[in-house]
Amino acid sequence: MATEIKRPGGELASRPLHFFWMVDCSGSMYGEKIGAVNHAIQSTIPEMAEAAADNPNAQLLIRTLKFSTGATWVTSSPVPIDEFAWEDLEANGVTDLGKAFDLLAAQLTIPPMTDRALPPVIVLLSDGCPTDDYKSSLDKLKHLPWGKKAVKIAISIGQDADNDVLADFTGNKELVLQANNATALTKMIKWASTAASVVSAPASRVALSSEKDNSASPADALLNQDSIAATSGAAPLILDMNNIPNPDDVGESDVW
Amino acid sequence: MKCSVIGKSVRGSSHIRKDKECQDSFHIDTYDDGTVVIAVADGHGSDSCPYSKSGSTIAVNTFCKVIRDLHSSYAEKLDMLQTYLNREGEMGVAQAIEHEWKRRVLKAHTNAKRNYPLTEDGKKDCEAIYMQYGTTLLGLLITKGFTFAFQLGDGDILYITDNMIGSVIESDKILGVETHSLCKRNAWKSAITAVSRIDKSPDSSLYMISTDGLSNSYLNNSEFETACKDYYNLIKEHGTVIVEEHLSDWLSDTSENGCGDDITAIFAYLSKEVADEGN
Repeated sequence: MATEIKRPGGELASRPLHFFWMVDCSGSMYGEKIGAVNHAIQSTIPEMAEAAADNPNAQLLIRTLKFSTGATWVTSSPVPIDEFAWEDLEANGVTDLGKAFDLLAAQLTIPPMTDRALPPVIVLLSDGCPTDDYKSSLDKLKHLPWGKKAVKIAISIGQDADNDVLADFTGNKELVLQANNATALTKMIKWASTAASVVSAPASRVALSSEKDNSASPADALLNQDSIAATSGAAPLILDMNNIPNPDDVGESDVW
Repeated sequence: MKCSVIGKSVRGSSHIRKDKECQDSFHIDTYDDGTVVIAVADGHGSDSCPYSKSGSTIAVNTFCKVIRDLHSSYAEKLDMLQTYLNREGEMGVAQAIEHEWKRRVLKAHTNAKRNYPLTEDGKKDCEAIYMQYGTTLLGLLITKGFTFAFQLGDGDILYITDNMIGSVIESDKILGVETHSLCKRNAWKSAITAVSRIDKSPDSSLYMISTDGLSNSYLNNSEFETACKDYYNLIKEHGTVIVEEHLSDWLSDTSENGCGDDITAIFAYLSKEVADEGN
């Protein structure tokens, strides 16, 4: 008869996947825009929870960061998706995006992040131009190991948003999603939220960069999928870009 | 010192849910002089690497073949082999492994009558073929006097005794889900190697080599090391045969409650007692 022995110890854990909502709450978002953001994200949470339940080997953790005059965490520590409840945000003040990047950078360092996490997903929603010096804060964020590896998506709300700034954040113009009405905004938010389930897939991928260079990001991969694959044999981290909702699918009278 | 070796490979729980095959492979080679060669490989398993199970199998076989050839050519002069590996491990040996793996991949691709992707000018696109077989590779040669460790991509090679645990080789882990791969051009440049003398002072010791599915299943590195020490103590107490009986179940359980990835682990247990009995 086989001897019964317990499995060797050591605490087991699924891999954490940190998902950040980063929301512009400046005065220009007041009214319909912030209402649409609140409604859209709230309606997306159950779908994210359902998708996360299909993969018990990744733990989806959510946090919300708001910025206007200054920046603050709405949820200061990571909350498991099945315990996460969206708190409606209000809008007033200016657009201190740089301060938001500073807060985010502090959470993407190791620690508090661990090196065994899955790539974080950051979804930035904004309708305007930064009013502070965002550039140095963004550079700092992008130079962090997890800042480079994060999947960064921006949702540009209305026509006054500074898309160059948002593209600077994502590193890829294709990942700046345009939303000019409430319906488009909801679609874009839902699409962005699906990044979590894609990133949580455990299949490993070939590092994009050659030799011992950790600088390539998933966003870089998305920017030049074909050329990278052709030149370095790399496998890009794939979000299904073909599924991005069409921003032109909107009535003329409904443009922000 | 006697060396007893066991190893298992299990399909990850996420692969079971998705009905995907295990992409890991391992190989154990033992020589008449007591030398042991062990290797594990983790096929990438992503959509762009559809034959990565074949790639990982070819990788472990390649490592064992290259090391066996080297060992044969230095037969009675293992100290010279140690010197050679010290000097050429990260270049000559790594290049030989990459070259042989790619040669075998092309042969396997042809034998299986799989489609050849073509370059824009209509030539056979070998780089695209290698990509379809993408895999990591970790290997360890254990002679009576020294070890040679080789690592290309994620995974762990550890050395454990009663009093210590540590990495045989310090890899440059890439954050997230990316890893170095044999399929890349000049893959040898991403290989790391280490030659170490065998410490004969401990009564027993354990070399452990595993794909990253094992370490990724633990809360942190400290918990992973706790598990590795437990494996060492269990083998020391119960022997490799008993542990081998349980190993598949333990690794499957680890994957299910951990990262969900395939897991492969090989344990090479060195002990004085049996050798002394023999003498």
